[in-house]
Amino acid sequence: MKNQSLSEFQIALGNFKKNRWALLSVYIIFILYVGAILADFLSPYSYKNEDRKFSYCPPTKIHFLKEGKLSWPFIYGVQLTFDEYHKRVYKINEKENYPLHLFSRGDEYKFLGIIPGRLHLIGTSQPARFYLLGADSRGRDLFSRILYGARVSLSIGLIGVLISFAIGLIVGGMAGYYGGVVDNILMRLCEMFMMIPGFYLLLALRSAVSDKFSSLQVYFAIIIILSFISWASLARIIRGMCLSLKEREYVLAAKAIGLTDFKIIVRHILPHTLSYSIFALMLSVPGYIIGESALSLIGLGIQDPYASWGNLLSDAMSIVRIKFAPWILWPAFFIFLTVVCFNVVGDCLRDCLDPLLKSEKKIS
Amino acid sequence: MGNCVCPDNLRRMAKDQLFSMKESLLSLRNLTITVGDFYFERILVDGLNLEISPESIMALVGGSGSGKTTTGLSILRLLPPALRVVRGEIIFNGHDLLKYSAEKMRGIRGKEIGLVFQEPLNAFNPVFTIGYQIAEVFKAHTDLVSQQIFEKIPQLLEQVGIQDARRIAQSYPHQLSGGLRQRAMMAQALAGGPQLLIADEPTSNLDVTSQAHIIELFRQLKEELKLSILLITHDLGMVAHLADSVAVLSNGKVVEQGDIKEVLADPKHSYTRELLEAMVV
Repeated sequence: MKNQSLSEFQIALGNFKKNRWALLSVYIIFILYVGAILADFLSPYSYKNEDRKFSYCPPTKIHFLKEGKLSWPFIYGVQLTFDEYHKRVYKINEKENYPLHLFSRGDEYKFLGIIPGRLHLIGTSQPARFYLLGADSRGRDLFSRILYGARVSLSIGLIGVLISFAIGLIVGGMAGYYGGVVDNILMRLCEMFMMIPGFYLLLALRSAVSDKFSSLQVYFAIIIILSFISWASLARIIRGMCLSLKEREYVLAAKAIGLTDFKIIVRHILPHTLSYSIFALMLSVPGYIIGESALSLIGLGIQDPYASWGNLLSDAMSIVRIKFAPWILWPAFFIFLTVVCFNVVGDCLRDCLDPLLKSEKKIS
Repeated sequence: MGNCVCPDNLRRMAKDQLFSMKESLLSLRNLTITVGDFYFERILVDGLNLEISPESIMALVGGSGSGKTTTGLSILRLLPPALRVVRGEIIFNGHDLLKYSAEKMRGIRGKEIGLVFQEPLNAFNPVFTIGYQIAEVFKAHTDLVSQQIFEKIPQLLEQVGIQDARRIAQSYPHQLSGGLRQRAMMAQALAGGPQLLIADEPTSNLDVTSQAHIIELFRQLKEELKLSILLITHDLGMVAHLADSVAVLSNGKVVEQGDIKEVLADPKHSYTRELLEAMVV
């Protein structure tokens, strides 16, 4: 029916859409995640594809004018030489020009781990290398590595948050609903976790975990460790909300129809904490991304040859390198962009879902 | 009640004995509920004795704070943690509910005894539809499949007098009017097919015409479903229209109890007389 009133979700969504920055941030986040999923296809090269002849090669300029006429984009070949200070200089050789191929055949990959393929969005023919954002010390394309790194960094943010979210909801829900001794024990447990400074706990846990782990195991270990240290603050707040929510009359009504405690907590109490939980979730994703980056930066996280944004930044820990090859700071920009976008979205969500502000902004 | 053994009293005492000989559905014996801890204890319900027979409507009348809602909730053992039942028995169909385990109690709630709340807007979860919340009762107590439940809910809603049942079942509580919400809540209480319905001030928040409809609905349900109803109210008008027997509560004690016609015609206790006089006819 046309004049049926909107559900709370639709009202909140409408308000959210009014904020342009938040919408933009959502699109950017979406693009980043799509880029991470389609990294195999979108990147010109594999993350492992190295060519030492192009070490620290600057970003390739794409040319559209050939002899004054508009033409299909192409690049020039480069030659590594050293100047009198033994600094790397890449001489552009205008005689060799290589057109860019769309949907070219490049390095092999397995899409989603199952479907093999060779198709890449952009590529050039050998022996030229197309470096959109420059190359690292081994001649690996930074743009490709950033895309593959996005997989690790962004997924750790998401999965880690979901795990600690689940733990926090359950612990907070039980503590708030049952009260008494259960509440006491669970909250003291939370406080124990919150007591220890996060980063040190992170390092300690990571070091305690075996160093003979394969990369995949390291990946999961990082996720678990990150969730381990951050569920406690969410649990405390959820517990507070549940303490007041369990006094509501529909909880009494739910008890009066004979529902079990578990069903009451999950169906009648916890959904009302979602308005807080969702934006708390959004606002804590950056923490996970930065936590993982910090670990990888100091070498305890994802190792070479696998890429993660923190991993890529460890290359940039030298002022000399930054001076002569400033493009290796690009991963930092992506981290910054992701963090800002999540913060903007989380902030806007908080405004939309705040029950006190809702009455002013209702659309009918 | 007087101690004098005059003919009227004799007749009444004989009737009472007969009354209690009929097998009662619910009987509260010496129920005492207190609040507070060791240092400060206040008695909310003091030695309450009540009998509800099958297929009858018993009204529990009293002013605010007389302990009637507490009594109603204590039957289902839904009292807040600060309140405790210190003495007494709640015999339902021959079993003492106070001795039931939590799991057995869950089998009783919603299935054998239903509870209708005073303010249906608060008693329904605002984020779920009416149909969903009624379906919860079916899911908790029966083995019916979703499809069967989907069929049963409109039937249930029509039984409580709701037209356009399918649309109402898919609506949210805030989309319905007060009278509809109250009927929907009664539908939820009746979903499990209970023998006893505890109605806690069911019409206090409604306008007069809706009140009349709900009163008529109660009468219908009692006849059609062979239901017993414990009506907790302070509205003597509704009691006069509906109840078979009445118990008057004051400060947690029963000051008068008996058949409705007798109590209304000849109130023994001063409090009952005050209530009758205060009633707006």
